[in-house]
Amino acid sequence: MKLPETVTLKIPVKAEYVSTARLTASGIASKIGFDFDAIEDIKVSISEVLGKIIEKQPEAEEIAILFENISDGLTIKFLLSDNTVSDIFDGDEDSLSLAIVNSLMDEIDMQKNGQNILTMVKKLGKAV
Amino acid sequence: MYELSVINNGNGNYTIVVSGEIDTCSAPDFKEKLYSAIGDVPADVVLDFTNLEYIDSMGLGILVGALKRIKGHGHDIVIKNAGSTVKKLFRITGLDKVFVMEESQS
Repeated sequence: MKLPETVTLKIPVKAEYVSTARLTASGIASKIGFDFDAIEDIKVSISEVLGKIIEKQPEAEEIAILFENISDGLTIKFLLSDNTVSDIFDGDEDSLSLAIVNSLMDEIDMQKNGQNILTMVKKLGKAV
Repeated sequence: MYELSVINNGNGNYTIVVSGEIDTCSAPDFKEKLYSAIGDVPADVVLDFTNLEYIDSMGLGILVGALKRIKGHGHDIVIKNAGSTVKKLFRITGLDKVFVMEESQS
């Protein structure tokens, strides 16, 4: 069985670096074989998640984003450095953002064991 | 990175052309410029999104705020020529039912 190839991007938790994550995701998703619409879905979802992370933990210095090329798509993991943030979509005003991510990605999950990790998955051939 | 420009069409009609990307980084400046541009416009406002590549939930929230202001004056916001990515976000969030969405005739 082929192991997933992983690309790790570590960026400062600052709004001006969100576009860097979007561009990185675009390159990786294109290499995997996603079409234009699916790549846009991924870019939008990354922006939404990072936007909420910046909003909820502005004191954190950096965030690691792991892009894993799985057999049928792309897994993106956000390693949150601040464990006090339990859910970045927990506020009433976050519903719009969560609705967008839920609609555009195939899976989204928040793991809270030890380090908080938000994982989202986009499967090949499943553009919204 | 985004750009916003206001075109005076005469007779109190204005078109606000927005291009580029509205995200976490550009949203605060976009809000200030948009609210300033719509000010006390005495008519419906057309937002031309022909060259708007991306808008996130923060940007959509700003548009909703702008719509409330305009509606308060008895007018509306018309979104014109939104691209497929932007239109998809309006559809997902249900905002395509809140805003008047128009395509160019040409």
